[in-house]
Amino acid sequence: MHPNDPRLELIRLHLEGNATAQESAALEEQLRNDPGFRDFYVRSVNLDLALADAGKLSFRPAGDAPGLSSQPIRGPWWQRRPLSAMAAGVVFGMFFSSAVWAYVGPMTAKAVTLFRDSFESGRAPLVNGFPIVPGVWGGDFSEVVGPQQGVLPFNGRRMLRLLRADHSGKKPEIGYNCSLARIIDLQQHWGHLDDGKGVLSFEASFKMTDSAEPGRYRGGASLFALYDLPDQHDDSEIFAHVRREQQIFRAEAKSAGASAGFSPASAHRSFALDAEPGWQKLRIDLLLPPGTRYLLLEMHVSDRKAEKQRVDSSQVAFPGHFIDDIHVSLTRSHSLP
Amino acid sequence: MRVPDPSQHDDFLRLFMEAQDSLRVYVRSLLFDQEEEREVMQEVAAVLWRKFEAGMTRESFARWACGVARMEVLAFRRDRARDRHCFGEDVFELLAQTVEEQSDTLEAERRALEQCMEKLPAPQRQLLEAAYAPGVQIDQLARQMKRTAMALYKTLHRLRLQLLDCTRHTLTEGEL
Repeated sequence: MHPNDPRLELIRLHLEGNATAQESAALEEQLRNDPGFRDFYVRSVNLDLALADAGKLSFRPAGDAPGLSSQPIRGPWWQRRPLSAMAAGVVFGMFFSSAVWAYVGPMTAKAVTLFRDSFESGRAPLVNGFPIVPGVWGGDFSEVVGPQQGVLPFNGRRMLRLLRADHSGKKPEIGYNCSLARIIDLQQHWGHLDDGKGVLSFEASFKMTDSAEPGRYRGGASLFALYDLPDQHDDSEIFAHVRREQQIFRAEAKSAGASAGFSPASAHRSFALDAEPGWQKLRIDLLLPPGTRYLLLEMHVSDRKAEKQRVDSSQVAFPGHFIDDIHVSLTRSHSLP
Repeated sequence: MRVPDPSQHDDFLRLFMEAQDSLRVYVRSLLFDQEEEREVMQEVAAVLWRKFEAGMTRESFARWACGVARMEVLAFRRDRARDRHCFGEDVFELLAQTVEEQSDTLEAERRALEQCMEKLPAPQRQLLEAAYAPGVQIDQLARQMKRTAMALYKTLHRLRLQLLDCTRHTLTEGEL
């Protein structure tokens, strides 16, 4: 097509999502009557998708090894990976995501991936309570699974299924959350954190299959900035801290970001899970105070019915609750003075 | 509820991977933006997996998947985008045919795109990188660049045309 062909404008507007109904109708008419234009339109769509895919692949997943592995991406983005070569491990994620890679401040402040996990290694989280060292998942009973109950992983071939509100060795007590936690070592990024302008972003995708009682289940997560590793020998103390902070947050006695005692700053968010098709994405941002060395990341699904009934946590099972594609990234807040 | 079968899942994944690029182009060609495409593709994948039967060939899977995609786009339009103009069924069919006929060419053009990106001057590459980064808003990017959104949209459009021209020439010249 000639570059000055006015019909190109119709394609542009449509691809950008800016076409009016009239312009869409005009585009439709051209697509109906001109095979050459139709070919060009399909090629334009193909190019647009390929460019978007290349943009998504420009951040290299850090894997789930202990500690951090946030080396900058090597080489220009379009060379990092063949545009048409998508491994099976990412095939679903390519279109299951809405904004998988956090991106803050184009051109000037790209997110550095600190941690990313969609459980593709198949390694199950520890089930003996909260971890007290960096680099491992720990918490309540859960398992790594493939597609099941009509649910496809958000990313790759595996996802995390939450099972129960208790963990191995947990003392009998009232409980209604299935929690998973991980400590992330931020010391490698000290240079970006010592002025209080580091912003940590967390994203994860949640999915529920149980549609019997709307509003019964909630998904949520908390981020805690830590100056040091917990020195407790008993993870239940950390657990108690986390729960207390979350309860305070829920009671709205204070706003997120002004955590007292346990950590210098924290952020919490929860939302009602629904059984609608598709995954529900949760995102939390936390401005890290100067001197932050670790992050404690906690995510959970809670059963509000069990909460009201005040049953023992060992009796609270989660029939079809999944989490996948956890992503933690670091950016710099240039808007701060 | 579907009972997972590992071997069936592998078959599904293989067929789906072979068909997915064409399927995405088809779905995107019928919708208004990439968010819509992702949402619909999520439903398409879920439906395909739920209803997948062993023994399908590549061709039969592709045809079936295309039909599912069409139904999902229509459902999406009905439920979520009623205010938008919807292409007629005949155009749905024409686009499905075009994507099917062009699938090899489209794949070759995606491969050629890498070469063509390298031929672009650095500032233009950087602009594309910024514009196509996940989650970026063109309005916001334009403000940072001290340009209007419209000017940026048009620049990106020109770059896309340049790339289309380049990929076509690359294929014609038989470089791939």
